[in-house]
Amino acid sequence: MNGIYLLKRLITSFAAFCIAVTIMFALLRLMPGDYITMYLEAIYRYAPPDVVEAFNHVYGLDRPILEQYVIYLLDAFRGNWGYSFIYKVPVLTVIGERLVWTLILLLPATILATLAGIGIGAYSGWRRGSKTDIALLNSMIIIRAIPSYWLALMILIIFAYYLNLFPLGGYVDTGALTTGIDPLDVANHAVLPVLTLFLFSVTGTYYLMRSSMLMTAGEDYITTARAKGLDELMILRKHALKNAMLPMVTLITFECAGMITGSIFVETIFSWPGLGMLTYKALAVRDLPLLQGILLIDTLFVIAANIAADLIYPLVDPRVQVGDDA
Amino acid sequence: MTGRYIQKILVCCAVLLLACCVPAAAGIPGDTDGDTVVSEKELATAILDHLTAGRLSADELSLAAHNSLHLPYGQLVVAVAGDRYLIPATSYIDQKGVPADSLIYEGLVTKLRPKEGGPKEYLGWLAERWESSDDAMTWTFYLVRNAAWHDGTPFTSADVRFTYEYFRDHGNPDAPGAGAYLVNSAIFKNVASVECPDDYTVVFHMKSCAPLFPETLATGPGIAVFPAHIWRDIDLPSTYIDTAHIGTGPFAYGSTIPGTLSKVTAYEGYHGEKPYVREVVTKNYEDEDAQILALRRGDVDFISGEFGLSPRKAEALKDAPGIGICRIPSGGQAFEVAFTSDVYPATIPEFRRALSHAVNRERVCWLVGEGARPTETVFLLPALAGDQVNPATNGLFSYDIAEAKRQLARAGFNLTEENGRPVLLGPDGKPVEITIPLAGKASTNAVDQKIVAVLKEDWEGKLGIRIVETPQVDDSIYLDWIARTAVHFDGMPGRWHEDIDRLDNFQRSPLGENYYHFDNETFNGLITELKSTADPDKREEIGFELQEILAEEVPCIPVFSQDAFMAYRSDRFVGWDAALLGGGGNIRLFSEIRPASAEVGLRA
Repeated sequence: MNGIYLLKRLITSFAAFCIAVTIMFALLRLMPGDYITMYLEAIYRYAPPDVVEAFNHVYGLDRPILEQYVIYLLDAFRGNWGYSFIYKVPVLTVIGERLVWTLILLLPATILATLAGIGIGAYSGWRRGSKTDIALLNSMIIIRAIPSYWLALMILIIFAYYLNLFPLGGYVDTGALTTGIDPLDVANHAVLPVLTLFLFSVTGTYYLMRSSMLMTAGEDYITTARAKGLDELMILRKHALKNAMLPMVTLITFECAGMITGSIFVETIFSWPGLGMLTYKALAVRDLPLLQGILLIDTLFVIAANIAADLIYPLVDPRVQVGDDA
Repeated sequence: MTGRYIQKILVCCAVLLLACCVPAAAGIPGDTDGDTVVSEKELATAILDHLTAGRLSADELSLAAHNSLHLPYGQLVVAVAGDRYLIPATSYIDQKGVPADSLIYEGLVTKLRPKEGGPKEYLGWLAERWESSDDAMTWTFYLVRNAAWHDGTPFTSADVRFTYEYFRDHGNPDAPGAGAYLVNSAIFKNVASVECPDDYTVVFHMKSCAPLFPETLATGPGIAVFPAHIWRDIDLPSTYIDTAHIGTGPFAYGSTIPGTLSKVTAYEGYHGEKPYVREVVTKNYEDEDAQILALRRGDVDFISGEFGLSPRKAEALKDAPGIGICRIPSGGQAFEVAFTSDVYPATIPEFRRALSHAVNRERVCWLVGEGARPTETVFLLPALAGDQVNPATNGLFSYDIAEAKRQLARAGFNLTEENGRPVLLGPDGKPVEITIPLAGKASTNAVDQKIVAVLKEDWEGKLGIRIVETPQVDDSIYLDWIARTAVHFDGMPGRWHEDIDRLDNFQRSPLGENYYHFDNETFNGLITELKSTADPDKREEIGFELQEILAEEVPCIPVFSQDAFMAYRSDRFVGWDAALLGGGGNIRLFSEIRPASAEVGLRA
C-alpha cells in the first residue's frame, strides 16, 4: 500500500459520503408526514396552519429545497447538526449520550460473539461430520431461527423474572438517583442484553467461519502439513486458521460498523436507551434533524469500516497488496 | 388415629393454601377501622401494641405515625412506557401544555371526570375560584394565597401575567433563534390582555367570546404557570437546559438519570393537600410485558400505559397476589366506524344510516374482551360528557340487519345473489365494494382487525358488501388513505367525547376538511354559534341539536368505548381507585395514594 492509494481512497470515501448524504437528504424529505403536523394532530386533532407555518419558518423548512440542502451540507461539515425536535437539545448531544449506551452493549457482545464464533466455527469446520460439529451446527440453526424479539423476552422472563438473577430493565437501579451511576450496577444491568445480542450475533460469525474452515481444510497445503507429520492442533493454528480468517476481516469490520445502529428489539425489551431505539423514535415522529444526524453518523462509521478493512487486509494476508498496481 | 392426623394436616394445608391464594389485602399498620387514616386513638393503641405485645415493628409504627400526622412517607415507583414521561433535560415549558405527569407544575384549573349523567367539574390548582362576565369576554381568577415556588419565592398573579406575556412574545416565528419559538403560544391566541388588580387576582380579557376558557387552560393541551423570576431572563425557552424545574406543585424536582429514571420529592410548602408519599420515582420500561413483570416482581408499584393496560393483560393480572386492578369507565379510547362522506358509497346519507344498523357492537365487545362498552350515543360518552348527552339520540343505531336491508332497498341498493353469495348492487347497478385501511389509532390492541372481522360477517355475509382490507399503513400516510376510502376506523382518546364543544370534530372548519369530510351547513353554523354562546341553557340546546343532526346524517357509527385498566401493588399502597377515578389531568393523583407497607419506607 502506498500514500497515493490512501489519498485516493480518502477522496473516493469523501465522494461516497457526499453521495450518501445527498441521498439521505432527499429520502428524508420524500417521507410522508412531518413532525409538527403529527405533534399538533395528537393534541388538537387538527394542525392549526398558522402554527405549522410558524414552525416551518423557524426551522427553515419553508425555504427552497436547494437552499435547505446547501445549508444542511455546510452545517454538516461545520458540526452544526441542529436541535432535535423531540428532545430540544443539540442532535450531537443526544446521539453522543445514546452512542455510549449502545457501545456498552454492543462492544462486549460483538467482541465475544466474534471470538466465540471464530473459535467454535473453526473447531466445528475442522471436525466436520463429527458429533460435536453436528451438535454445534444444529444448536446454531435453532438459535438463529428464534426471532430476536422472542429470544430477548424469554431471556428476560427466565433469568430476570423467574430466577431473579438480574434486573428487568434499564441500566441502573433506583438507588442511582441518590448515589449516582455505579459501573458495577450498569454491568449487572447489561448482562442479559449482552447475552441476547451475543446469542444472535455469534451464529453469523460461526456460519462464515465454519464454511471458510471447510474450504481451507480441503486445501493441498493442509494435506502436505499432515504428510509432514505435524500434529492436528498445530495444523489448525498455524495453517488452517490463518487462511480461514481472511473472509472474517470483512465481516468483523462490518459488524463493528453495524454496532452503531444498535438493536431496536433488544433495546426495547430491556429498556436500554441506545441508538437503535432513538432511531426508531426519531423515525416515528419524523424528527428530521435527529434522523439526519443519526444517518450521518451511520454513514461515517460504514465508510470508516471500509477503509479499516482495506488497511487491515494486507496485514492479515501479506499476499494482498492494496493499491500496488504492479 | 393416624388417619385423623392426616386429615388434620390436610385441612391445615388447605387453609394455608387458601390463605395464600387470597390477594394480599391492603391495610395500613395501626389502621384498625380500615378508613386508610390512622387516628390519634389508633396511633396510641399501635404504640401500646408495639411496646407491650410487639405486634407492630418499629418500621410499621413509623408508617402509622406518618399517616396519622399526614407526613410524607416512603417511595412510590411508577413504570412509564417511554422516556418522554421522564423529567426532560430541557424545560417543560414547550412540552404538551399542562404537564399532567410532571407533578411539579400546576395550571390555574384542571378538569375532573363528571359523575355519570352529571355536569362537568373543574378543580382549582392555583386558582381557588373563578368567574366570567355574562358575555364570556372576561374571565377573573382568584388565586390561592399560600402558594410558593419550590425555591421559596411567593407565587402571585404577576407569575400568571408573565406566563401569558412570555408565551405571547415567544409566539413570533421571526424571533431570533429556533429555541425562542414556543409552539404552545397558540393556546393563548384568544387572549387580548391580562391584568392583575392585586397579587391574587388575574383578569383575562378575551378577543372573542370564550365560554370554555377554563377548558382551554386545563386540557387539550392546556398550560401551566411558570415562575417569572426564573424565566424572565431566558431568551431561548424551548432549548433551555433546566436543571432546577421550579414549580408550585405537590412535588419538587429531585434528580434524573437520562432515559431511565427520574425522581420528585414531596414539597413541604405545598399550598394544597400535602402528599402522603415522600418520593415518586418514574422508571422507564419501553415494553409493556417488561412493565408487567416488574410489577409482579415488586420492582414497581404502578403501571398503566398510554390508554391503560390491554384488557387481556389486566385480566391476567387480576388474581395475582398483592396486585390490584383499577378500572376507569370509558377511560381508554372510543372506537368508531367512520365514513368519508365524499367518497362513494358513503356519499349517500341513506347508505350510512342503513349501515348504522349493521354494526354488531356486542360481538365486537366480546372479541375485544373485558372493559369494552357498546356505545349507545351518537358521539359523546355519558361517562365523560355527563348531562351534555342528548337522551333523545340514545340507542338510535341499534343492531338490526333486517332494518339495514330495508333502508338499503329504499336508498336504491339491490341485494342479489351470485354463486350462492349475497351481492349488493349500488344505484348504478355495480357491486358495492368498500376498502378499509387498517392502522391509525384504532389499531390499539388490534381493535381494527376485530371490528373488520365482525363487519365482514354482516356487511359481506348478509348485506353483500365486499370488504377489501388494506395492510397496516404507516401513521404518517394514514390520513391520506382515509381520505380516499369510504370507511375507516378511529379510536380517539376519551377526551374527544366529553364535551359538546368537541362536536366541532365534524365541522368543516376554516382549517380544512374534517376527518369525515362531513359538510353540513346547519351543523357548521351551529358550531360557530356554540363557540360564541355563553349562556349554558342555550349551549345545551345547541349541543342537543348538533347531536340530532349527527343521528340523522351518521358521519360515523360509534362502536364501543374501552375502560382503562391500571395495575398497582395493593399490598404496598392504598387509595388508588378513588384517586384514579377522580383523575383526568389531576396531578394530585399520586398525592392521594397512601403507603400501606413499611417496605416502601425502607427503600426511600
